[in-house]
Amino acid sequence: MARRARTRQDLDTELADLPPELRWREWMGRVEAVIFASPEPVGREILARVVGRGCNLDLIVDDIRGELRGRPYELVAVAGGWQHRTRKSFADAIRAATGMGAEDPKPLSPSEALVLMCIGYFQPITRGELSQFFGKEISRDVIGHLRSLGFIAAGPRSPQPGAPYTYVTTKQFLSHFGFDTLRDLPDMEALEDAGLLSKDRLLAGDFPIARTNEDDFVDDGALDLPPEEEPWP
Amino acid sequence: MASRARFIPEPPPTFPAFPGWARPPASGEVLEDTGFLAGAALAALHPIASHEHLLGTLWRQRLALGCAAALARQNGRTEDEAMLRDHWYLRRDGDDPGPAGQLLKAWRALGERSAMAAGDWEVRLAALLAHSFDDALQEAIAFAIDQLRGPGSAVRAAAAVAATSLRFRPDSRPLALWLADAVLAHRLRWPAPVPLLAAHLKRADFRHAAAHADGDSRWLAACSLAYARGAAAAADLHANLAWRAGRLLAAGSQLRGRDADMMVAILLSEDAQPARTGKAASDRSSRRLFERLVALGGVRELTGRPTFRLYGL
Repeated sequence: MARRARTRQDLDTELADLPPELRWREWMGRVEAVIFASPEPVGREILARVVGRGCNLDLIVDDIRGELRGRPYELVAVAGGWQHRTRKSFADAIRAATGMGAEDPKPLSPSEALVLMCIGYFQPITRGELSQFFGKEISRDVIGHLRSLGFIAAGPRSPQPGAPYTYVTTKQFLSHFGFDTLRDLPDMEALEDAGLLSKDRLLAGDFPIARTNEDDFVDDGALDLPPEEEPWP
Repeated sequence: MASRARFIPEPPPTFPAFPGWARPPASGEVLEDTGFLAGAALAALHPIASHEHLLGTLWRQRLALGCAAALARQNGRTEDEAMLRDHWYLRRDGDDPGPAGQLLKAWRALGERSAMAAGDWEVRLAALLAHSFDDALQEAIAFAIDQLRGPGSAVRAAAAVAATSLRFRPDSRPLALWLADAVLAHRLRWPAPVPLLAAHLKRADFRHAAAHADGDSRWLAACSLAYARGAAAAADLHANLAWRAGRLLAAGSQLRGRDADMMVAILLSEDAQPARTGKAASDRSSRRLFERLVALGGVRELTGRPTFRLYGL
């Protein structure tokens, strides 16, 4: 902590001796450099450390975006911060050249994606509740894989025998799927209005939610759920 | 053997009972004099809110819990107060308490003294409420900071701040309600904000917010009534907590455990506390301490579960 405070003092953020245009260029440069150097989205409070107090970061970011127009990468706002990303239209070229992105070393299988989606909507939720929800055991490997990808983290412990950890989604989950907040999850509003965001009621089997979606899931063969014999709990 | 030095906190001061004539009727009636009621209720709350005692922290945390539960319900989530408390206390330090738990985190932060530092609001609120940092957020906060001083009544300022914030960020009621309570505390010179508004505004009241800037008075009336109700409920809660704190202190003097004095001080200032290994006491001795406190009537077990118990006033 003390060390960080000192480095912040060492860096001249106000740049009072520079004329305004040069000062602005310097701030822009610093902000872009910090974002460029960081492997993950950079939040505002971090960027505020390298610019003067009277500096509007949004204007800086807008100017940087303006400069990047026509470049193959851009500055995007994700997970409450900013990050450099290549433009979508170059995805094919990157894939052809490096093979990157074509297949993740360990891609999400459809059923893992479904589990992740379920955690996103019903967090905090334990593995046991997930298993009950899907009507089949959700293995530790699935949870472990999602955790190793950084999409979920441990939340509060559930007051049940064994005190299992619940799981919650992380900032990286938001960043990866391009959501800004959890409110951006698809159909969140519709689910809320229908009162479907209630974990307890879902687990109690009050809603025939599976019936409407089940066909889609089964059709693509993603889930090895027996379609009819295994009623959803 | 020399006896250990005992540390017994001061008993909380008692305040005059909340005047019955300032208490808004429970429901049903359309009220004319909401401004008067809000003023009277906040004046009655003033000595409680400006007094600094350990119990004030606990009091604000309980109010925060009520506010967070109300907001979670309005957001379509199903967490109630007990569940929110579980989420908050049954996690490791630094773990994410979940989406509804984040609301509780924001409201507990509202009740802290540091919430009065208006310069930090932008960064703190963006982090607490997980908002994208955009012009709208800054405009809303800038308006709130502008309203910290000025003419006019405190409730009117708070209502205006909430309405303006809702105009800039219609998606974020928590932001509006947080700012309104913080501005009210600044106007009334309280040492720390008291979470009042969020728990007592009804969902239907929010549709009046948009018309507030055009001189429509229904939003102001709704906010005034919410503050009147909130202040009455808060004063009652404080009276109840002060009575319980007196019992805890009476029971505390009979305790002999190693961490007993420290635990009594913690229980006076913290919403709930699980039995766990303490500084000098083992897990088991901490359990015994709480069992003894419950037997003496000093604390309650808040969850009603046989396991994963949480104790508090």
